[in-house]
Amino acid sequence: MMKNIAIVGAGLSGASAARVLRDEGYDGRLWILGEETHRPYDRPSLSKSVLSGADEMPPELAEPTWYDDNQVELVSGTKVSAFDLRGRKLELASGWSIDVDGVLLATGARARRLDVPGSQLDGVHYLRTMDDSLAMRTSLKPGMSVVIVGGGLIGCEVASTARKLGAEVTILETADELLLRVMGPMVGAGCRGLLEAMGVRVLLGAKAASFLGTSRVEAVMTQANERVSADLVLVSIGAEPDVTLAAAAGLACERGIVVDGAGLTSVSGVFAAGDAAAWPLRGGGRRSFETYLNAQAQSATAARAMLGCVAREPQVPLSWTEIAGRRMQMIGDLAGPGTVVVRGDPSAGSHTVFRIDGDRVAAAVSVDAARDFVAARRLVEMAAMVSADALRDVNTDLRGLTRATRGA
Amino acid sequence: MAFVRVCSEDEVAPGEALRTESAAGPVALFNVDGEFFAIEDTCSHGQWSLSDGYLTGDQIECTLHMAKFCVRTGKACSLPATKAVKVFPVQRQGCDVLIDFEDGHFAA
Repeated sequence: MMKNIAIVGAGLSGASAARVLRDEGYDGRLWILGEETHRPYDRPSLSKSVLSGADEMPPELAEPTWYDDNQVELVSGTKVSAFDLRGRKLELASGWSIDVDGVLLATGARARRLDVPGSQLDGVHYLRTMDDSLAMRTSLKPGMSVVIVGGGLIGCEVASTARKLGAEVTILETADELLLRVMGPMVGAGCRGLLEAMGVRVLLGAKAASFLGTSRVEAVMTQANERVSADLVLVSIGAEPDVTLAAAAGLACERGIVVDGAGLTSVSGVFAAGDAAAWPLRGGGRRSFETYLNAQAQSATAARAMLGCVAREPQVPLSWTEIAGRRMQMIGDLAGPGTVVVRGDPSAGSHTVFRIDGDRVAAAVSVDAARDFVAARRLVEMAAMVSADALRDVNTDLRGLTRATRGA
Repeated sequence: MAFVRVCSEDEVAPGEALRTESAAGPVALFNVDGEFFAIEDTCSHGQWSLSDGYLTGDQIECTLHMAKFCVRTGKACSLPATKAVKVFPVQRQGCDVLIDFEDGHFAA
């Protein structure tokens, strides 16, 4: 039985795991060690309501009194500089050390850096933390030119927010469509249409070659030698699991800390969850999921496993976003083998796109169709056998299907 | 005490929900295996209707960001929600289901 558990990382994973540990009756010492100076907060709003100023601050992940009430020792603004696996000791940059018998590494992911001439100029931003969001919010002004390098989820979310604030927004995306990895070409094209209708300029197949300016960024040069004026640049070209501590300690890492379906790393007593972890996928392989809901589920699974309740749970990516005022939810990878089936009329707004692989529902993306998504999600989770015609027919009761259908 | 008839019990099947407007705002009525519970319909996190959600046992999962609430107590059971929603007293009279919309409160 563990008596001294430290959670390294105070994001969603760390905070969720602490909550589950206490809810499940763990009564030993419990630390959350966070590098940021803030109490754990919710990140999805950083690209939306916090950036726009609609919310002053992101919501906190627990009431401020929760930590004391539950004997959780939250240590903020602290970097863990080393993890001695053999001695079961965490060394903090402040000079402290903590003796532990269980560790959950929830160190998250960092924004992938773009290393081109001029990338150190003022006005070039990244977005992962509250401080990043507040710094961008201070600079964002109506009428200014904003260039977003990378048309993935964060890029498209920020484009929506900045455009609504009255900025002139250009997205540079190297691929031939926005949001390809997460949404597939069809929904990606739909989002591009919505963003363009808002007045966002989208350049596909466009790579940032350099940033121009003397001290502050003034423009972005593309590889095709197009000069795009920029008062502010956001680089949103993906994230990389933060494995610095884990790799230095000697844990197996492979684009994330390698864990099994219960979150256990290559060393007993040491677990990882959330964006830092390369977690098994239900369909095989493993990766960092970079989603809110998977981070939450992984942390709960890992926390229970730390208490001896081990259930291996490979996962299916599950996520949501808000782009150009549309609420979208997705499960599984829409880009993959099989057939794409559309339910509803994309041009009318509300619709759901499914991918069927063989005869099983493998992935779904809903646009302004939260009610359908509840069922779509279950169908994907069950890998249900449903015909393309049934999915396509808007008269099919999807909820009924989830009750009637049994997956493999 | 002002219980108001909302529906008859066979209008809300087990596992299903009914959204109803009231002076206290929208209220969601849930049928958990024949037992009825009423809570505020608006998710305390994302301003979304809980009655659209997915009921598993006595937990309702919001369709928007998948926060979960206990329909018996209104308590938040899963992030991103951290704040409870109010519960409303429910009564059965014969086949009718009644809610006291004036007594919405946070469970102890």
